Amino acid sequence: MNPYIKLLELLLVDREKEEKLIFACNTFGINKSDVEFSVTTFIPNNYNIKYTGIRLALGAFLNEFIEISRLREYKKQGKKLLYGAMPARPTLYSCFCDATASFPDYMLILCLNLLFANNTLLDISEKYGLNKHCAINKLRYSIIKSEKIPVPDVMWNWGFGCDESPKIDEVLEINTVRGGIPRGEENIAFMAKTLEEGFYEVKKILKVNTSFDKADIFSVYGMKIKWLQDIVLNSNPQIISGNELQLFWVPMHCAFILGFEHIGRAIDTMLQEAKIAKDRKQGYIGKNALKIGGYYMPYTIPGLNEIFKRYNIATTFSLANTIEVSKAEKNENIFYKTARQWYSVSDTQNFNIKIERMAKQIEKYSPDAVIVGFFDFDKWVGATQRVLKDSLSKKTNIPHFYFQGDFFDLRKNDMSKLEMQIETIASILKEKTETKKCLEENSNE
Amino acid sequence: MNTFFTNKIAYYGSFVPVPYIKAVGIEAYNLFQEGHTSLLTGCNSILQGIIRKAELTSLSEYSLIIIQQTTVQEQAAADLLEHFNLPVLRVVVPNNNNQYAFEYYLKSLEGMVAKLSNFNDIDLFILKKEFAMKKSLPDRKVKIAVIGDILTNSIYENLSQYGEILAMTDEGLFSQIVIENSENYLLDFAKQKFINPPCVFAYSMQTRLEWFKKINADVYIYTFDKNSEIYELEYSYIRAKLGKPIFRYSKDKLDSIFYEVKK
Repeated sequence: MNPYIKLLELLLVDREKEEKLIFACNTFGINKSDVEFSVTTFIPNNYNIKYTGIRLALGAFLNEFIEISRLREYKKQGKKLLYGAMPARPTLYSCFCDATASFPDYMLILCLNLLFANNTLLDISEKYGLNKHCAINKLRYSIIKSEKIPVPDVMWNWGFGCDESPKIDEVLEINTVRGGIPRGEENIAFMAKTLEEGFYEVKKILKVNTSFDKADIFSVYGMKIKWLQDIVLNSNPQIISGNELQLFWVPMHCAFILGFEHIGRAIDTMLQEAKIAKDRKQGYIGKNALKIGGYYMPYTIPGLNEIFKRYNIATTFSLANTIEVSKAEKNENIFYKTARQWYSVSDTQNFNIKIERMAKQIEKYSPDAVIVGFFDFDKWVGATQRVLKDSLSKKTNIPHFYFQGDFFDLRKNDMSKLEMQIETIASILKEKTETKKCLEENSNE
Repeated sequence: MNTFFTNKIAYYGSFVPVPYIKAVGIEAYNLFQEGHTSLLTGCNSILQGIIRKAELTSLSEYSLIIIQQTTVQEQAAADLLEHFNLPVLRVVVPNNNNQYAFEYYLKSLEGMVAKLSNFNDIDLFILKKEFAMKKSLPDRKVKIAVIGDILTNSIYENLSQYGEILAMTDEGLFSQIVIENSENYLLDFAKQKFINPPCVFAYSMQTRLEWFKKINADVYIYTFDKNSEIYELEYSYIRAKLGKPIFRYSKDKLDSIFYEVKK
């Protein structure tokens, strides 16, 4: 059987998509042997494929991988293309009914990392002279400049978090609708107004129908992912890894071209499987394994999870996914709701508020340690992480460890160095646990 | 409360109307000119430098640190200083060129003036004098536009030896706002800064390019930290589009740059 079919079957994607998969692989620099490696080694070694939910989730990414390669075809067919960029909430993008909405750069880098562990596409941007930029921005530049994906009819780039992202659009001469919010202060009303203005500007450009009905799916999905997280993190032995859990978080911050068609089925299946596995005490790692949380759990570097596992450390939750649910106001419109959702995530808040919220999250799940870092390249997320590490560590009395590395660009991570660091962390935590055990035994005596 | 000679206020950014600081009788220090470039260049490894005791100690001399909030790194800088319990005041500038962003900025400025008034009453005579003051620029032949996120005194002085500096800000081209006999200095300052000419936010390269063309300098110099992605990209973009001499600042190369320009 050829590896393309094997991959489709492994990830429960329709076999009839073989040709489309081959086309996608050819477009994005994935050759036959990469696919073979992915099916026989990479995916089985890095994911719990005994769970249909995990296979379906990875399948949802494979479907997106195929869809991104079809954007040129869609454009030729006369479909309107709307792109978004991280960070944004995908809710509003899904409301443009007759348009194809995608965050192609972010989704593609996830697909390349999660399914193939291959970032060679980034080489193109480096040929254009973009060296030290964020890999997401570099990838957007690469794939549009090399015409692997078309220029969209409009790019709705909120620009609330990353300053650099809208600049890439300018260089690419993309028709962009941008936003702008007060930095350093939460102002839901201001953001709602900006979003509403942007939304109708995009609508004017696309000339398509819009409907806010789809927006509710996000709330339902949001409840499911929190539910899944609670089941996984309260299981001992832990059912699936934090990396796998993160796969299900992606729709909360990135638009899927196919919407919830596949990832929705994946989470429903995973929820059922997780409940059964918890009752049967089936885990991906031994009982009472050490647990680490992450600022962002580095699921985009799949190999790390296996290294942690080797040292009996379970990866768990991402602090940045902390959601503080504030009370919805009566009759609030979708823009207000989206703005409220935006500020409900710790990462969009001021440093001091972020620390408070993350500390609460750490208290809730009480990991043995927290890892921070992998964003040395980034001025938005990365700028304050070293200080955050020290402050959170002091506040929670839980050790925090900083990793130098690149969350998205696998080429920049020296896995052997990272393994050495993980080994050190494991020995520190082991010693700490043993000391604690001794102290407890002594006090009992 | 008489706080003359005891308080020092530091500020960063041209969205901060410095005459108001002076009008409450307090010396205003530009963070960049005081050598705090590491705080605001946005380079992660350097930004962490502010946790160095020495720098925090020197910053603790200030009764107030006013930082404009137009970019991620400015927010990060304010966040960290606030985290270390330093008295930070944010002048918030939503990066939108629309009316409600302007109103937000104006409100933020009003908050700043209210805070300053806690130190001393605003001396209208000083305010008027400061706003009416024009910086004298040497009469030289070469006209230079300087832009970037590490504009220090020494860079200014070094470049001044070669020509007249037409513009020197990171988010607008005309750093010198002169207001004579206004009924409402704050509103006029905000309008001149934000609306006319429209301010150029860090990501608006196209607008910046148009302004560069209008200003018609002989040479354009970018000064930015080696890790500044934002300006690196802009530099390449403007360089490709402007069709005028444009260089990255390097003290050692100034002689050869201006030799070329004069030719």
